[in-house]
Amino acid sequence: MNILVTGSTGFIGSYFMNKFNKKFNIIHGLSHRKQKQKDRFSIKLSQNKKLEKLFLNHKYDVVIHLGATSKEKRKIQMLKENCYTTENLLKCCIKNNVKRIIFASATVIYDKAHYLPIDEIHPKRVKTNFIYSKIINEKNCELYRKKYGLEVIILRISSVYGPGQLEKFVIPTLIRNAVKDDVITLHKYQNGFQLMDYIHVDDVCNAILLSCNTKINYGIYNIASGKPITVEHIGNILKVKLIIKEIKSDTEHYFYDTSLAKKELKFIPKIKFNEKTMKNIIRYYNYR
Amino acid sequence: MIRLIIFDFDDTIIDNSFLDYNAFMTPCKQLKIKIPQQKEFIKLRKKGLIAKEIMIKILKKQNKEEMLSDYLELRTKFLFKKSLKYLILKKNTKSLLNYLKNNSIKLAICSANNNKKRTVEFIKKNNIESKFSNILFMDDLNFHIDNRQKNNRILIKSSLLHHIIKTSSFKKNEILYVGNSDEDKIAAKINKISFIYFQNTYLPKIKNKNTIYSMSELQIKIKKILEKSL
Repeated sequence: MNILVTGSTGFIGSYFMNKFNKKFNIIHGLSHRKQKQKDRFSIKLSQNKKLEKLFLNHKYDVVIHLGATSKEKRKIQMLKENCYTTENLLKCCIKNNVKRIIFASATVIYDKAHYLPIDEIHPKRVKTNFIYSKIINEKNCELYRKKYGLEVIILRISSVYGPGQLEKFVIPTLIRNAVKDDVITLHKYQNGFQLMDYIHVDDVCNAILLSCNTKINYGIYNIASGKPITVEHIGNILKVKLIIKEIKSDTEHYFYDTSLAKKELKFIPKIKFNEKTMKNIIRYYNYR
Repeated sequence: MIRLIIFDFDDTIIDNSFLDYNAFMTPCKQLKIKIPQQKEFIKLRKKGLIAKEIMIKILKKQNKEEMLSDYLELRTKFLFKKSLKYLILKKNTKSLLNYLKNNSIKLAICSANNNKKRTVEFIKKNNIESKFSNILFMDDLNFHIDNRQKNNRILIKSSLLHHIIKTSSFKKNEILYVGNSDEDKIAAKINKISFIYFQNTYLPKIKNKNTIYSMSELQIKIKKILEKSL
């Protein structure tokens, strides 16, 4: 199987490339950033000619589309960077007989929880231009499936953590503060500690691999741990002193129903949010 | 055509007023807190105050605010251990359940209560267990949030309703939810199913177009709906 991964310098993309380097006949990475390895190409998805040439030279079977900008921008700019680029990619897939696209969407597209766990039919809500771009891309993938028969697997991925993640994100920040000060400050809302859903990058990559190999040719799946955790839970795992700050407002609880991914993709998250996982992250970032 | 009716439990199928007052009063006696008359208590409940809010008022008057956490702990213990003997099945409930069963309507219970054991015991004790195809409580959800907080209660109810709807083979317009609170009404609205509000005499009134005051009234209402759909 010949694979092309967009966003190959990103958190999930680079982890996937390293983990499954030998799993495929060809696995190429694509990014707008400079890349030194011979199987990785520095091409922007807006560069049509270069993109077409790449597709022409390599007969890809599956495209894993992880590349996107998540930094909030004006709508036009966001459409340009996330949607026109996806459209280019879809056109290349059709022109070059790519069998399947796996599109990385996100669980942030859902409205605040109407019920828990949030499943794939839960109402969505456009809260940001980034979410808007993800919803448009999902629709566009579906359109290409209906019009051209392209196989489409959409993965709505929840909050990801693990080695390789930029340190500014929640989990590394929380761990860094805990290790540094032996204490963390937690926000407790009127309706309790927020229920959240974090999934390890290794599990996300396994879900992508399963999406490459599945016989199912269309599906939308939540890729999450499916098990709610709270910051208090994380604090207890880290065994540090907890300072609880009472917040005089409610929070939005969220976690996701992964039963469809389990049933159809045979996806089961393996990495638990426990002491061992935390220690691996501490070791990775060299916090101690 | 109605094919599935989901009932809330506390204050819908059962009359909780006796338990409500006793759960309020017993810890007060244990802690030697001067308590209001039942009439006064009911008046405050009708205003929409929950037991905790009423107790905060009382303790403030008696300069005993520090006793609140002890009181709440004792109340929770009471509700868990001794509540069964104070629960009463609402009048004409059995007759209604038989009527619905005879009309091939599936029945379910959904409650934000986290004491399923007590409830199941009560249901068994009253020989109505076989009437229900599905009994779902907060304990059945794979998450735990504080069910004393209104928004959390809505989320719990809505999640339970969603689960029942999703696992049933019925369309949303074939499902009816009978509940007794504003939270129930919102949860039904979120899940886009019909709702009938069961007004209890000791709880605040809410505005709702489908309001009933007794099980026999509910039976008449359902009978009319069934006749209409024939």
